[in-house]
Amino acid sequence: MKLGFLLSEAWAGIRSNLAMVFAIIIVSLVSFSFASIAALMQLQVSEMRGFWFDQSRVQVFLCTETSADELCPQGPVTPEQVSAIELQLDSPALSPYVEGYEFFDSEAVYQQLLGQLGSSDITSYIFPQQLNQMFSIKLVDPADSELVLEAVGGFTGVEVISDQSRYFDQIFAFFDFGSLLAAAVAAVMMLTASLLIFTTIRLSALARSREISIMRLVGASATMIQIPFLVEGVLVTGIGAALGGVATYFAVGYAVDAANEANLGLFVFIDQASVWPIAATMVGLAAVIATVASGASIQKFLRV
Amino acid sequence: MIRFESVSKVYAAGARPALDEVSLEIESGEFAFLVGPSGSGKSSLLRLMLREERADGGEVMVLGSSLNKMPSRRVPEFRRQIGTVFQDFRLLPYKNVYSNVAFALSVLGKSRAFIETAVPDVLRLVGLEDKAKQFPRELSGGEQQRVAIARALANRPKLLLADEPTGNLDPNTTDDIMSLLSRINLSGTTVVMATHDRRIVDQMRKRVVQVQGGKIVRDQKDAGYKELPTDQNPIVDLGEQA
Repeated sequence: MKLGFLLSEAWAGIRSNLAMVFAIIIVSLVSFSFASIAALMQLQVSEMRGFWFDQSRVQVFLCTETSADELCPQGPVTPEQVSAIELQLDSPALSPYVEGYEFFDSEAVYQQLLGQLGSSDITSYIFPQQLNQMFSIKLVDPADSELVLEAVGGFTGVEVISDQSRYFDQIFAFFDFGSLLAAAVAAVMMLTASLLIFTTIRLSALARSREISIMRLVGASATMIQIPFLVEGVLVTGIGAALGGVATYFAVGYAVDAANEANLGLFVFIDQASVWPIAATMVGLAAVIATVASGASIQKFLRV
Repeated sequence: MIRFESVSKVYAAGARPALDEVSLEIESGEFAFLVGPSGSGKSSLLRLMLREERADGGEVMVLGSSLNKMPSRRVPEFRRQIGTVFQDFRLLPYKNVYSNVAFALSVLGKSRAFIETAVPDVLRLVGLEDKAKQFPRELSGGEQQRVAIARALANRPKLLLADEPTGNLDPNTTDDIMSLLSRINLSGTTVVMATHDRRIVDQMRKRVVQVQGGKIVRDQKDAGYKELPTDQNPIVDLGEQA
């Protein structure tokens, strides 16, 4: 079947059903926009997770003279206790999970703190001996922090262990929920789009039942008969999905500008350029959905 | 070309068979009328020849293919060798004469060059070369049927099946169409035509296969129409048997 003829037949179908065609375009636009937003949120969460997990450390704070008795009944940590913790971190059981670690004595921690506080008045009330010596441990996979807690937590001289990656759990959970919500809306809308495509192609086939009967009589195969209808469905849904991509592009531009202006302290890893590969995937997904829905719709008319 | 061997067709369980043990053979190049009252089984015979239906019993052979055993995927290829014409023309109202004929070739994937040669040829054959740009609503009934015949012939079929092609036409136009079908037959295309019209059957003096109650009750060459009583037993005129 020649391309020109194929497109002219698809166009004839579109013209005969303009109202339904607009409905499909709008529903596809909304559903694939939601799907794109869900994908973008997942991309943002994934990049954030990677970035923050790369920055995050498990910090093992050691006992000082000022530590509470219930946390440090043995008093301040001794050099032997520090060596024992180092040995544990280097042990064959734990080392595969540890990418590296650094030990900071009180003076080093104090200097770090001074660097962070700058010329603040509060620095005059802080002294090195008040500050915990600590191990700052970078894990191969931050999700394995429980292992360190179990392996080092019971050592004498350890006051408290802090896992920085836990600070991000809530924010990730928020993004995950938003992403899930967008995906759920997208799924419902896509189902609606599929049903609309099914009905529209069925109406289009009914409107062209005479053409179909002539096609069958002159010996057109089932594939030849259904291709114009599949093209019609894919074309209309594809236009909706592509417009959804354009809408998402502008929505992301607006949202990223708003997030940066609001200075929320969040690193925004997505930008408008991130939209294009997702939009292309959505157009592909739209083509698959439209092919399946149109193909199912036209089956009834293909019996020879 | 066409062979039916003890063919039966039943549309609804328990109902009288539309065709009951029918045997028939039509040779290549023949012109055969299928005659008989409404519901006698003429259209069922045509539908079986076109493989729109499958026989419930017996064997249907058309153009060398056994249609009972033919898988559905092979039916389109089989139908490309057959042209079909109906009483209601079945033209596409929004396409002009040229496009109506070209449509049948376009759906088969024929090249533009082939279509640009074949369509004017076939329009010339049916005498509509000067009406190529007109739409069906601008044509008379006879002209519309000529377009339908042109479409049926566009792919140069070996067999033309016509189901009451003159049913909607006045006597003069009917004569024109019959003359056209006769010329098509003379050029080598086998024509099988179902009709009620006793006048044209009598006039043409071709082979007549008379069907009644799902049975062939008469099969005669160079024959005319003959009314038979409804309880008529099958008669085959052996002297002029086809």
